[in-house]
Amino acid sequence: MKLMKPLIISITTLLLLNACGGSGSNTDSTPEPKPTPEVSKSTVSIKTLTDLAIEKNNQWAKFEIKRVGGDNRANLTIAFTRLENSDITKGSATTDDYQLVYSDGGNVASDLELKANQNSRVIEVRPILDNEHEIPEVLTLLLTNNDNYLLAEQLSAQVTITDAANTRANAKVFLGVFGPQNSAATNASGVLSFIVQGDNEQGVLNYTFSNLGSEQTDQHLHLAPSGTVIKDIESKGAINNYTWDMAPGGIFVNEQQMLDALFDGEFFINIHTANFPHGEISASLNFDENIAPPEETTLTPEDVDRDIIRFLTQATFGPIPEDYQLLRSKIATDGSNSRQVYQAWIEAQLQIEQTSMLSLTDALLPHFPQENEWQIRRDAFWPIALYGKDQLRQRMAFALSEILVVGDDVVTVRNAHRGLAQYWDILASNAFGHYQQALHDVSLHPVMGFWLSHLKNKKENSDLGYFPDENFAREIMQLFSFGLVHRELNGTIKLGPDNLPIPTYDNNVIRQMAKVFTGLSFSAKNNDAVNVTNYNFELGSYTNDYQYRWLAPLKVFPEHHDFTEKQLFTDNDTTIVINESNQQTSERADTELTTVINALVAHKTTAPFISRKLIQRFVTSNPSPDYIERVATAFGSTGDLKATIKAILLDKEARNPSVALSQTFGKVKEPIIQMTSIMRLLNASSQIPLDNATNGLNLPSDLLEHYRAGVTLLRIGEQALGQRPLGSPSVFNFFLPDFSPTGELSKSSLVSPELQLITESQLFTNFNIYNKLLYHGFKRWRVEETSSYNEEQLTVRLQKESFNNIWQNTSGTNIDKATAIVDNLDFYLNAGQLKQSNNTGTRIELIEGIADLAGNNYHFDHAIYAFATVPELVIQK
Amino acid sequence: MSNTSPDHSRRKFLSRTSLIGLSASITANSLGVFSLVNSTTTLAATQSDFKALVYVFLNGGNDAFNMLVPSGNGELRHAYEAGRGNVAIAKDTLNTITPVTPAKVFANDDYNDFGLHPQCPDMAQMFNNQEISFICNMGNLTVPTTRQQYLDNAVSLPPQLFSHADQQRQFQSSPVSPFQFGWGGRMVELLTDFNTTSLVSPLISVAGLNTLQVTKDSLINPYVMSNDGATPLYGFSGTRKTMIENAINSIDDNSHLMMKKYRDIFLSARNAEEIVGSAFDIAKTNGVDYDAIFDAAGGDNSVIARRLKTVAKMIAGRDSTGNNRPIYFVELGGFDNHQNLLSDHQDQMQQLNAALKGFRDSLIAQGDFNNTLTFVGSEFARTLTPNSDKADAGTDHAWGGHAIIMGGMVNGGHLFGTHPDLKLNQGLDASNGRGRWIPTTATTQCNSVIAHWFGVEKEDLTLLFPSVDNFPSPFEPEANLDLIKTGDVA
Repeated sequence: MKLMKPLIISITTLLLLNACGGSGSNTDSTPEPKPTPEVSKSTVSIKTLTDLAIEKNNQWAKFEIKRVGGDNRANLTIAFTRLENSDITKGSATTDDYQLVYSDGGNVASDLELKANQNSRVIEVRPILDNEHEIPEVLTLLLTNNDNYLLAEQLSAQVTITDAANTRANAKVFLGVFGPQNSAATNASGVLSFIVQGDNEQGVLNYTFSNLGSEQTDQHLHLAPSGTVIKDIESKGAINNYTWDMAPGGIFVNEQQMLDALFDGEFFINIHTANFPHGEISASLNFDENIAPPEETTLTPEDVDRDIIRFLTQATFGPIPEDYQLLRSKIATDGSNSRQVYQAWIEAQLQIEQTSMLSLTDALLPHFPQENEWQIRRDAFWPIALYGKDQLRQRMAFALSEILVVGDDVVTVRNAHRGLAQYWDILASNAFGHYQQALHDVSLHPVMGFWLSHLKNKKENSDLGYFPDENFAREIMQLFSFGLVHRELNGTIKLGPDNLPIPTYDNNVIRQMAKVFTGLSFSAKNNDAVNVTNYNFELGSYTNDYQYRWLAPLKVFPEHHDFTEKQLFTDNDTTIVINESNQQTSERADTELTTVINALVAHKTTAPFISRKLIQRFVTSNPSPDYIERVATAFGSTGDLKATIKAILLDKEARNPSVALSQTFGKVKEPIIQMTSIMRLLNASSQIPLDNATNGLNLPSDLLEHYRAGVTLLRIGEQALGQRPLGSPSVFNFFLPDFSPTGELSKSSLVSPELQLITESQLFTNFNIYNKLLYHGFKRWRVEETSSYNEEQLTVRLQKESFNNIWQNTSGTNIDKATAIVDNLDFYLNAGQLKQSNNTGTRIELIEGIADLAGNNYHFDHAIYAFATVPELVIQK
Repeated sequence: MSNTSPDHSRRKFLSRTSLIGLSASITANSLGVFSLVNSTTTLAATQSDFKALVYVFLNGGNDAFNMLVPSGNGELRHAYEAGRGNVAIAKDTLNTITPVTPAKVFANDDYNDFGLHPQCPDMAQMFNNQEISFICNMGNLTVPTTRQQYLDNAVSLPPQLFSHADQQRQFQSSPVSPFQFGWGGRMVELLTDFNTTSLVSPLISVAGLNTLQVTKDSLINPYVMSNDGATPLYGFSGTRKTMIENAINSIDDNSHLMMKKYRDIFLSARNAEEIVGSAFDIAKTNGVDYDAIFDAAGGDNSVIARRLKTVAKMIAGRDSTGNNRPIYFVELGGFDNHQNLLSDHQDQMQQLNAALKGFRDSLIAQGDFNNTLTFVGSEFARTLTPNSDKADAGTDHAWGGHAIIMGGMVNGGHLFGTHPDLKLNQGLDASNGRGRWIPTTATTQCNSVIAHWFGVEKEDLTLLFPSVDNFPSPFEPEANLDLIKTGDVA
């Protein structure tokens, strides 16, 4: 029965009764002695045997009453009452909804009854079929006191009655079409579905729209005709598989009212835009009983396969057959244990010892004594990314290098090649540690000190008229921790009383913060070849061969540190204040730095701000607020990066197989990642092994053990992909996290950071780089002139034997052989999206093109070229 | 004249379009063509109809107070030396300029003794030839703002002052939130009549995507070239070409939005490749030796010189593009001089001076100096005070700075707007003594004058700059923004 009656007994009364136990008297804080049970009385109890009754299936719930002790030869009549749901927003069953029937026959009357010689009896709750749409309704039976018996502690029991089971057939489909709201002048349109599960408890909302006339500002669920807001939908743009629990909002106080309004067609969703602040387009949710709900998703073996590749695409520098096979061998056919297997894989990655860029750089330097050291350092990235065993750690280091940005376009940063290699290693060593520590380490790293100019930054001197530099103070807040405005845990912007975003700091805070980062300079230097302590604050930023000054953390020179009071940023109404200190020591300044850096990471906005950036590097450009919240929760107040990477990769949004058909989920692959993926799959190598094989460099085994077999020297040189590890043109990284390309994406309020790199000229440059790789290979310009190796030995090429094998081993026509090649590339480089996609055009084009070229030396190259250039293949879903 | 008449190119374009089976609407959008229906109107691009805007952005916050420097012995010079300390430039090394009229100075008498940075002799000569002018102490503002209002938090300020990314965005649009469009992008939307036959976007960037060229309706997208022109595609022929084009063509309306955008960029690049090629062909035959001119100017093949050389050639070959109101975006980076201000800024000024000189000489040689307005500006200037007592000291993010305009239509030899008095802790200083000047001219006021020259009606200026009406009219004498010669205004 769906009408809500006033509560008969409130929840507090119920609890009180429970607390009374068998005595029926008040036991509060001073328990009275319980009366001794009379031997002649039974103790009665009730429990639930089956907790769900389903109207449509005529499935019954069951209670059982029991008596213990006393004389069971007599009938016993037990008084009871029915309780309503203690949560007034939820449903309660009434006597119109069910019948209570004894399983051994007979209806339940006003009392419960145990017959002579019966110690227990089962009561069936038989739902009464009606045509109403009802939310799940709760029935609670409470045994009440009577002189004939004593009450056991188990004196109430509860069952739920629902309309229908949560099967596909019982789901109800609501559809909507977006059109202009209140005849707004717009060409925008879109479609919507809301699929309510059989028991009406919740539903899944999906919608998409396009062609808005201006930027989207908000989206809401409203009640017609008044337009009252029922629910604010926090994310913007299209909504994919959003679970809406229909919790009461607006004028409604319970879920049944919500469900009634839903079935009455009173709800609509509208999209607010800058031009139409009250709504540009809207769509009503209309029930259509003739529409069959979509097939339920059960994972096919192909789905499971594809998800393994998706996972490896997100977690490594590119899937390779051996990684795939390792995971595949452990995952059940239906994928039921895939989450656990992925988790175990992550745990195993955490244990792998770190590959060091500094060690590799140092080991390679003697082989190229005439060359600029920084060139060797730049090329050292490639063996690590392509062959390093600690793939997840290095992917995290790469992601962190795009948040805690330094850039080697700056000559000194470039020339501090050992310091910069060590900077990378510091990011990698903190990859599964705490962001707090990572931020501390990079703040005190000499390369960062030079890059953002807090190295040798002195306290204010008003006599001489100079002030501390504010660069690092600003960027550590704006980019490395909490950003410009306060945010909720789910990343959405908090609004102040004036309805405007609340800035996290102003210029006064920056100036105060600048004082924190004063007095830092090199702690080490070389004395000839010896690494010694530095005592000179003004030590030059020289980049000689030893670079000891670039390898040791900066230290505080107290005489240059500002020890006056600092009023810093405010979080949760608490302002971080560093008190003035008379104790002007480096220890005191160190404590101050640690305190401030920890407070920056603990700021409520840092977790969602950094979590979103990390999700964007690994999984998708437009994570839902819920996804951000889950990851930000894992990040916590110290930035637990181990928990964070697990939360990112194992989240249901990252692992959802249905995103393959989404128009919005996923991201454009970063140019570097796209390149490493192709190079890893095709074992890019030179003819110079790093080990002691023929022509090998014979590097030490304790270095080589961090790499997969087959690693060679990869002096690929400068490839103008628009992106180079540790080579961002500015502290704002290669692209902005909020970059939204003009057109459909910006109209849908979706961002695509990587597309900021894809301009016409960069796109063609990338095409040409792949053309070069395929026909000429990569080699640093003139590197042979400073080496004992020749050009051919140094050139890095893709190894295509595996394709020859596929081609040879596939029987049938050239089309069959080409199909095998394309599907293999599609599987590893594209998680099989091409084959799975409804749009089969691209796959067929590629197959026919490659079959046509059979016999041509370059037919595989055309396939690889296509996989590097065709739009469907540069998007990672 | 081009051997590729616009009608001819259009036929080629349409035949290629049908070959790869694109729907006209998708192609039109991706190319930045507004309406293929309208494109049947005749081109009729006569010389006198043509105007180009070249927007040179100095990225990172140009220390403008060491570019245009008070000299002489007056109060302004004394304030300059007192504030700058060890980053002051000696007055005997400056390139003296002679303003047509003395500069207005905030709360002080007019001042007439100025020089340009030691590395800017050609800019000084152009100033004295009345080919360039400066707009003094210009910056992002939402309303006229005083120091007291600023200190009391009693005034609406541009969001996120002193932050690079935000101030750049506002400088190239206007200081409103949320961001909607760049003023250059919006301007070509308002002036579609001038560009209707365009097969390549009238928004051309030689320095990547930028805020200036973001349009409101997103139907016109900027076309991004490399420093030296369109990037050719190597090895793109035969089966490969057919295969890739057909694969790209199979992207449809149901495809992922990012795929569709990627496809659009590809198509834009393919179509523009040819048109830009013919623009460069025209530039090859006009008798102007661009390399020699830029070399002679000391351009030294710097990035900014290469970019401006490419723009000069595109303007020379404009008949192949059919755009009569193109907007070019050019950028020179590296101005965020937190350290080594004196030495690093010297290199930047040398590059800027040489590139502007080469560009000016090229435009004069090809006859386009009078129809091409070049604007040079930066998101903010830097603090007057340095951040250390050492020779390698730098300066910090500040606010109002000086911009440059160049061209035959410019009222040259002027210091427009109002110069700050450079007095710390008073007057215009938006800080306790760092020397961050509250702008006396809003960026939107200056841009309004340029937009009006380009063809935007005065009553339409608020469509570009929603907050410009908060300020006194830039066209009234009080604003001191008489940037354009009488007779050159649309």
